[in-house]
Amino acid sequence: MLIFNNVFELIPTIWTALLLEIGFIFLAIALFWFARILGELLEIIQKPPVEGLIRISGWLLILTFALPHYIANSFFYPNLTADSNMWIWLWVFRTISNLGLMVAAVLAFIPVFLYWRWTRE
Amino acid sequence: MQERKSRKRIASTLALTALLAVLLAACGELTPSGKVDGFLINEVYTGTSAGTLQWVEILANGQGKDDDSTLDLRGVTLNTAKGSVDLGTLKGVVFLPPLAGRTPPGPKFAPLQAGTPVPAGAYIVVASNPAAFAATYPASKVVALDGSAVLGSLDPKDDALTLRSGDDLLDQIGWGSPNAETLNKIKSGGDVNMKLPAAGIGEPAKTLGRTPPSGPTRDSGKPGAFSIHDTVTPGGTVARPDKYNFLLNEITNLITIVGGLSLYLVFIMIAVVARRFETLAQQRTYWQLLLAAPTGILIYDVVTIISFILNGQLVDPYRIIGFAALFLSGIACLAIINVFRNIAKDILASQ
Repeated sequence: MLIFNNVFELIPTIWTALLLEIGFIFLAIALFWFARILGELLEIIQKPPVEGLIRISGWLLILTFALPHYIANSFFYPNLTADSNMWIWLWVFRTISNLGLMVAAVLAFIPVFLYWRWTRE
Repeated sequence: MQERKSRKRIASTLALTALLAVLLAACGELTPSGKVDGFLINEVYTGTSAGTLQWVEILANGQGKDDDSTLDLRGVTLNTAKGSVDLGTLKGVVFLPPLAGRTPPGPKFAPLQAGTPVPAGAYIVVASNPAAFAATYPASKVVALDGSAVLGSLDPKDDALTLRSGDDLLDQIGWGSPNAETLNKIKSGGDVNMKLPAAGIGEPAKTLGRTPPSGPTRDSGKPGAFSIHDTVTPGGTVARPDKYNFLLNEITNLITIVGGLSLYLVFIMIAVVARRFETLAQQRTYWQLLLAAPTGILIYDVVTIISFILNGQLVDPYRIIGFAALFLSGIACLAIINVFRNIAKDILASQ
């Protein structure tokens, strides 16, 4: 375990945070691509174009999760021991990013679930 | 064409080198000697005018992550334009921050006698007036060492001080434009930590302090660089405000986990849709890969839950494992949805 800890210490906090944010941006792009397919599928079965919710979800992932989460990880966390104001900012940014993630997930789920229901028969 | 490509390559190499140089320059040095183990200046408070309470916090930055090792304070001097004092001849009470593995792990206060070793990780405060220090910070259990011989007349706008052990310069700090006479007297060396902004301008006075990376345990290898601290913290680090504990931890942690699991479910549903499309179109859609690709999101969630339960927050190595798993999952989802998109596009176009 000691060897693993040493390896992990070599990776700066900011780079690991960036890894997560890039991962979420990839997931958002994947959602954008899927929204395009779903739009056409919905058109075939003549259902409302609810795939717009997936696009909104992708933007929410980028703007309200990835960005605030990166700022919190790279700026507020490292300064917690130095400045008590950082706790307030951390709380604000964590709340924004985590709520953003949940809302984005719910918004993306609705159209996929609706398509699944509409094509069940 | 070939020449243009080569020119582009040279330009991009030069741009990358310049970026790297800027990044390296921004990193800076932490101490004049380049070593971080041993005694370091951690925080300096000058007040807004000379003659008021002034104090210097010193960190016994010992090797390792435990306070089971000690450092010898004998012969270590704090030097200002006013004079020099041997810290090994003074007594007080030092602060030891919370430490995982210690029983109990919470913060500790240890008496420091003249000439006795100091536990590694201890924060020692030297004040111009220990009685005034105790009156100003009644909540602190730290007893400041008597630094009246060197402190009390620091200029909040332009001054400097050094920490030395005989001829060795352990650490130094200077703010504003300290005069040459002062620099000679305190035997400073080079510019490291000597061109900092003054923190004692304006009310309330702030401090110049090192900002270490936050984490569950103190890391002697990363004492942090100096910056102006809005919150004055003699004998310790900023404590987590109690009123934010519940909102910061329980609720936001729960939202993170629910959000992550919901996102995993979304990608599973996408795989289900791809499977249905495969059945209808009689064309392979690789829905099995779509089912496997978001596993990293699940790993990120599970690792986060474990770390929240064990540590109350997401810490290394859980953080790195979770973040890496999610990153790989992001790439996998992007690649496989792209394959599915192309297949679906062809089928829909042919129909």
